[in-house]
Amino acid sequence: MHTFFIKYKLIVLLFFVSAVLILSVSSGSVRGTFTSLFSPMQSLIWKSGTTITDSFSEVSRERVQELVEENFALRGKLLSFEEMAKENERLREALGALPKKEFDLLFSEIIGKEVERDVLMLNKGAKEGVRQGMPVITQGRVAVGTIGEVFLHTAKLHLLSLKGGASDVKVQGREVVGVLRGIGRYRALLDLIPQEEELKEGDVIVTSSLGGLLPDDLLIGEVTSIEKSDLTAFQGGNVELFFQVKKENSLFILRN
Amino acid sequence: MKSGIVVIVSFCIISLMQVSFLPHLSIAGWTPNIVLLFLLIMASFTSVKIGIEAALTGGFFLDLYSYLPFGSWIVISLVFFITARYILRNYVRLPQYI
Repeated sequence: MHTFFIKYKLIVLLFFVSAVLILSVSSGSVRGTFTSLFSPMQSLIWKSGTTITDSFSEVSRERVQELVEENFALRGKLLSFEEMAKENERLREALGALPKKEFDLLFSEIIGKEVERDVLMLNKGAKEGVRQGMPVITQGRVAVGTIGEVFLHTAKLHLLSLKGGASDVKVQGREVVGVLRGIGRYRALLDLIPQEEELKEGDVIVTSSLGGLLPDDLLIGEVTSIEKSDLTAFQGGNVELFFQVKKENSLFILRN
Repeated sequence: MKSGIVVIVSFCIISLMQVSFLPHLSIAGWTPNIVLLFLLIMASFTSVKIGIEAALTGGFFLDLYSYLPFGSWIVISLVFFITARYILRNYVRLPQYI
């Protein structure tokens, strides 16, 4: 066997090169087949990773107290919003307007992450009705990204932090529209906010349906620092995304 | 033959850990590549044959979860293994306690 390899070095090399070329041509189906084959095992590994991350993450007593207080305040707000929603519904009925469309959600589990980019693998694919460009959110209605490449039983999810990616966003509470640019490694920048608009640290960024990629008003992140210069027409800043890869096992794909 | 199967299964598991477990341990969004790390260890302790088997398996599985053209990680792993082995054999002397 060993002498065969030495004797026919060129043949072995040609065989190797042609095998790689054949795999390249049909890379989509090869990747799709293998990822769906390993997806149950990968799903388990991902869940164990999340469990370990959770057990190591510590929350200080002060932070817990702060969150409890915030929770009470939010519960109060929620009650008033529920009342407003009921009132809104009654008014819609009175005016004969169509009820607001709910999302058609498809539950999906994360099975892995691409080696080089901010792209996750999900265990749902074309067979389950997943199409390229569909938005993906968390259980808490936080925007995660959009579907990229779709295989038969798996799909690639392009995160908002994907380098080179851009999506229309707005500042919550004010109709200030800008662009969120992914810079890789789970980081993103807010850009193209006009200089005359007020932008503060702590401002919450939500999705805008302007670009047609994501539906309106899904949470994205919080502005952590602002970059403003008199030399440019626009301002921007760093955004800390609410979606954290380490803490999520499952996501929802919006099918409508 | 037996050792080849062990290497293939091991690198299959290592590659799956790389894509499904390691992202949880990333620091500032940076994830270490344990496939290359294991290849580096193998470069100093195993034969060329076993190392190449490992590089092919590891590269193949990394290619499944990559956006680069298929075969890129196979070539990267092979070149990495051969280079690491050459450097370790010719320029590095590992301490021997036995």
